[in-house]
Amino acid sequence: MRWKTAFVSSLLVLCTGALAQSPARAQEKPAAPAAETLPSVQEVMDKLDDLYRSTSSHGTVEMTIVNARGTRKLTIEMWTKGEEKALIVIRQPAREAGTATLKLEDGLWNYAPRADRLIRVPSGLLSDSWMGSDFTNDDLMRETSLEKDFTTALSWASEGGTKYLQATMTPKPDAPVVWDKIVYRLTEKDWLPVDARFYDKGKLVRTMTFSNIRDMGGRSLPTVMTLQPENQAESTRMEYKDLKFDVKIDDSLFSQQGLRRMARTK
Amino acid sequence: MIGKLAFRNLSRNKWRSVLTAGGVAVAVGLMLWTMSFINGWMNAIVQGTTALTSLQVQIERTDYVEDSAIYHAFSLPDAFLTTLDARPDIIAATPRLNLYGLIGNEDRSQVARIIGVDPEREAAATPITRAVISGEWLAPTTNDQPSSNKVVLGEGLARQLKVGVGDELVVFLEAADGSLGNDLLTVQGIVRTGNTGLDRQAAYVHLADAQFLAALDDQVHEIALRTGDPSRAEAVAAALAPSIQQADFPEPMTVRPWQAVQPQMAEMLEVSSAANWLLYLIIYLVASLGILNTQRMSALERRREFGVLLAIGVTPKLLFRIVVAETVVLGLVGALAGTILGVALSLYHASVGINLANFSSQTSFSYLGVSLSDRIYTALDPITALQPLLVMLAVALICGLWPAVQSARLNITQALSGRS
Amino acid sequence: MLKLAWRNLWRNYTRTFIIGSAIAFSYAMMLVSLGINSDSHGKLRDAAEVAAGGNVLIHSEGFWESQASDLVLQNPTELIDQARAIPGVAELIPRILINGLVSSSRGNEPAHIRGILPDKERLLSDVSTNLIAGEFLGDTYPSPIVLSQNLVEKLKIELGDKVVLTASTPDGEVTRALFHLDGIIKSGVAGEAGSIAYTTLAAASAAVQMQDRISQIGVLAAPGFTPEMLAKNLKQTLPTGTSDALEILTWEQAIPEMKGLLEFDQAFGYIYLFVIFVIVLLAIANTFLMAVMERVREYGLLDAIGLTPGRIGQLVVWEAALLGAMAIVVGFVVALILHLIIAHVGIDLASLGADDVEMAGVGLSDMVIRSRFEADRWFFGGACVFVIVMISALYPALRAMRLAPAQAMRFYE
Repeated sequence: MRWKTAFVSSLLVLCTGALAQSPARAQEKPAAPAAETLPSVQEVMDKLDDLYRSTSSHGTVEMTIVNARGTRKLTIEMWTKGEEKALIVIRQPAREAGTATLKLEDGLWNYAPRADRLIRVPSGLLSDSWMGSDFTNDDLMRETSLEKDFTTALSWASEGGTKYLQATMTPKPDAPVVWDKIVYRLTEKDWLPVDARFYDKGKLVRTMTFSNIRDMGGRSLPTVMTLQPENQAESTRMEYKDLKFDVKIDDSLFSQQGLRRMARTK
Repeated sequence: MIGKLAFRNLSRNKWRSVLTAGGVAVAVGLMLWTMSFINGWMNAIVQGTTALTSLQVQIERTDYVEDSAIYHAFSLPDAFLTTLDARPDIIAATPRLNLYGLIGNEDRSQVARIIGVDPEREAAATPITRAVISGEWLAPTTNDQPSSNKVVLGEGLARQLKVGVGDELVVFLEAADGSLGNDLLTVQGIVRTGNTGLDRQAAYVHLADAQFLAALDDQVHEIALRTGDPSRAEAVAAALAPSIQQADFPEPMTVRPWQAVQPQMAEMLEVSSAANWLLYLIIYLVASLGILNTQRMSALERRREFGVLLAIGVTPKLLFRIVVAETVVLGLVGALAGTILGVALSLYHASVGINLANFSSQTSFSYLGVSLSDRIYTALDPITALQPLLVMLAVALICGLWPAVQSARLNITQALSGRS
Repeated sequence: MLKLAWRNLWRNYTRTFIIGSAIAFSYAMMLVSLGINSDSHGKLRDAAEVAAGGNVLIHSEGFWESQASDLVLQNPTELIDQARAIPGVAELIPRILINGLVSSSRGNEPAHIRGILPDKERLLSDVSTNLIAGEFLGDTYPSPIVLSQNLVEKLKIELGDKVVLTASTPDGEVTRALFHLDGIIKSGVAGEAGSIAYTTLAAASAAVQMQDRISQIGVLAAPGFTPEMLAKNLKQTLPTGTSDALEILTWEQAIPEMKGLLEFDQAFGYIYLFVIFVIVLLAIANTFLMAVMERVREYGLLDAIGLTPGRIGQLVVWEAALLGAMAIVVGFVVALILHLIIAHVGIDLASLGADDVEMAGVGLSDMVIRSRFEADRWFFGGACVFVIVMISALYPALRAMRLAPAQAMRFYE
């Protein structure tokens, strides 16, 4: 029996995973050295891994999912603390407003606003696409660093007169990665991601584009991310509307009471 | 003249005539009964495997057949179900919405198949109410209260969730528009269907509740139809298809008999019928052997009689004809009697059923995970009724040639002396 | 009297031969149908045991129903050592069962992965016979995986391609592991069969960090031990009902629907055999009656020359007993030869247009009808035949005894 759906639980991963890693150390880093010399792989990887990492965060994301059936737009508010704790509440659209997910060290719960009840989500529950988007669990569940799974080679590339730092990542022999290679292009000076192309068997399978670099929460970040599979009329776009790093968040928020409280406000 | 002689011969030796014709009759009758029993057995299997799931005919959107995505649902045109109900070949029609979602509480949850049903229609079309082991089946839908927020769980699912009747459960699922539907349900009953899939995964809710959860107002995924005789499913589906095309559906629709819904089942039954032919063949062989032996015996015993006939001037050719005529009469009488006997017995078992429990220590049976009634109702059709008659008649005639040929070849002196 | 009966039989050897062969061949056909019925039933039973994974299954308490990844056998080595000494245990097959998601760059599909020791698994059934491409868990890749054709098509992959498995560890962590597609097996048509995948026990263990733990031990029973006896023995020795409790299930408990199917099949078999018996017995009775009725005159003659009715009865009984016994022996031998032919050559249903079929999710790839010998049923059949022969012989004898000699000699109706 084919089990095809996705749960708010995945949203979670959004926080602790791909999106909510903050560039805590971005400011401390020295500016990129002279353009001709390549930086060390370590430096670039650290920068990428740390881009969204923080001790805690609070923000709002707008998500737009386009597929054959139409366009769906969601507004999500989220809080994170450390690597383990996260709380996500859907604010828009009205039908789903108040639906929330809580992740703690010892489990995952969804909050059903209509029922005003929590439901524990089995840890093994996986789904093939996240809320009908083009993101797969592979993107969202990524908790390991790029460094662990990939061997990276840096080079300079230019397109249309713009110079990019190009990081070509090939998975290590045993790394659980379905791609042949991922090619990241970063801005020349700040090493902020511009796009990432995913290849399998030498063919481009999908592209993730990072754009709209803005100052947010004291960091300069790409605030829009778009995932576009090759040859398909589908895409998923995520835009940070607001993001604060290292804010003080009370621990009581990450509890069942806190979840209920935050989900029911507004 | 030949006929007269043959008849006189037959009536003169009643014992032999009765035995020979009786042998044919018993073979034909039992063969006929066995075939109708096997037909009935196959019907029971089909009914058993489809009773709770697809039933005998299913109506879905064509794209739902290929890809059972939640959004491949359709709206029921007004009075469509009533039209279906009005057809004489349909006993009951039940519309359903099939959803996959998470069901549970703060402590644990499970992936479940949430089936939105009209409780009355589902109960009329399936044996679900008989499967209730605790609590009760969903209450009938009324106009002012189409939904109830009640759920009837499969036994295994209830055990996994550690809930009983009266407990509350949260359900979460991705609706047709990609949004997240959620609701609070109260356990109304628990069912043990014998179908492991349903027992482990099924959560029956009111159609209106499911439609709300899935954001599919007034829509359904399938209409399952219960037809009387499973072997008629293909005919019913074919008869329905044109009227479905004409009905007011915006999307292309497909009407499938159970053979198309459960091809593995249909294939299995096809193999069974191939294997059944072997069974029939063995029975025919055994029966033919019996008839052949009776005729050989008869030929032997009648040597003296034939000898006398030849001695008084009957030509071998005439004797041959007389014996053939005798055989034809005996075979025909036997086969007809057998057919009447077999049809009568089959019809009797078609209405009363055969209690399988008499043949096994078991009192209940399940097949492919679905419990079956322990009664098998024989199913008779013209082919079943005629085939044994024709086959055994042919066999009886061929076997009857033995004494005929023997009679024509007889050596008079030896035959008269009674030595062999 | 025995001598007289014997002589009587040979005096009219044509008749004896006809009756004898009638009994022998009918009996042989009856035995052949018994053999075929036993075999088709036995085949179903075997298929069910293979589908379950052994005669008896050992899991951590509650695993079978919940399939939860955290319910694992903690000390399988110790457990296997302990179990090996239990009477009735022929073989122990360790397995790791993972319900997870397999991914390629083209998509994700839920799958049921079985981590197995191919050499041990072969003792139960050889899955590699279903291989349609590649090899079955060979040495080409460190972490080989064999997927059903259905999964391969959905993931759009080829032999040698990378497959990532996402699943839960026993500790509840979600983890991922890399596999290479080593082989493709035919996907069954029923239920979960389309999402079955195989890997080695070692690769499965590494993938979900099982360390030394496993999910299941399939136990094969030694000859003469029923699954119930084996389960009872296991339960007596192995710890159950404690905190580290084990779940010991016979295959019938594990897949109850197969049990129901078998019972239904058996009931059907009995009805079928009942019909065969009735036809065979009636045919024999028929032939015999016809022969004996013709002899009523002869009995009258014997009566006339001074034989008492009792002695005539004895004579008839002895004749019938001798003839019946000989015919049954001949029939038995004929049936045995036919049985051996069918058992070894088989009747191929595939030639009758049947392809591979599944029953209750159990593959019956071997669609050749064979025969199985079951001594008790065969002898029971023989006894039935003998009894019917005696009854058919006695009725005319009794009738003859009641007739006055003069009447009997004229008996011709």
